[in-house]
Amino acid sequence: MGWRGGNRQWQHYELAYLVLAGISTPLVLSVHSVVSSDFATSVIPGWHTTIFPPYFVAGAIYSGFGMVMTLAVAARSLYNLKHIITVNHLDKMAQIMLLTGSIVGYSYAMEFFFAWYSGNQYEKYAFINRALGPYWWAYWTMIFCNVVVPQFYWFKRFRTHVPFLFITSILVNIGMWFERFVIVVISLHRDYMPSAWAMYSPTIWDIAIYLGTFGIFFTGFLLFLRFLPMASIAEVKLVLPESNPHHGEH
Amino acid sequence: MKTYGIIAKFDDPSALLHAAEEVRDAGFKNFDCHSPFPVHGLDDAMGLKRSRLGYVIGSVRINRCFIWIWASNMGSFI
Repeated sequence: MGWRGGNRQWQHYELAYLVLAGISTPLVLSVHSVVSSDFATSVIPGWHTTIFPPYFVAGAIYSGFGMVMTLAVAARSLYNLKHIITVNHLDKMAQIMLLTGSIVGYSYAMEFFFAWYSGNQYEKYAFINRALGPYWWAYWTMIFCNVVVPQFYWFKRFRTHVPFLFITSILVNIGMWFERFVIVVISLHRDYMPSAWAMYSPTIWDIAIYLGTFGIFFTGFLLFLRFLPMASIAEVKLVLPESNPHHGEH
Repeated sequence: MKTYGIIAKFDDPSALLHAAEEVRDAGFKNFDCHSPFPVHGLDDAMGLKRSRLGYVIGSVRINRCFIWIWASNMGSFI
């Protein structure tokens, strides 16, 4: 393909990389704000709240780091990359999960407060139903996985214990799945009109599609691991202290 | 026999950087520095101007976003 490793090529590469990163970062924020507004611009009690854009953005980052942590712990063990994906990296990822998990936990508390403070009977009922109604088990699983579990990451002992990180990152993903379940199912199954209230149970096709999404994700991920470099060696070398041209100077 | 070009090998990035600065200051334009990873500061050491590829990538990407938004709203009404 003509790659020489010459600085003239590196210059173009680095600038293109920077521009793409600079556009993608606001894109992450805007995508989840827009997606959350699909819910927030409706009238369903429990959905029609302005906290959704920051809540969904923080939740997406939280869920994403959980997923990355699960895959990174698995890949580094299976492919002997422990010196490249280090425990220090996992520690930093856990700190970000602590931050975003705390924002998500704060959002849960604020939603409850808004519902109470608003005096709106439908909004108040929507939240009482979440905690005490027929789907209470989904709600409390979500609270445990998203609020309680990341608090362990305050302690370095837990942030650097790799099996604990693996298990808790899976719990985080489970918690975020339940958050989406709570938002979508619990708000919909009992909204304004009691005669329209019903219980949701998944059909075999819902479950099949869900398992299929795991399949397509892991197919893509495993193909990536098989055919593409798992870690970019140039980027690893770039951040070593020896590759700084001013290393060793006073 | 005419000398077509000169190639030199350096042991570490700072030697490469200082060599690039001296070659730039001596007035040479048609040279390049090869490395397995990008070396910080080498763009200035070689006297290179800012790459225009960044503008191309940025404008293409932003235009693509606008076209996407237009297509998803107005495109169905053409």
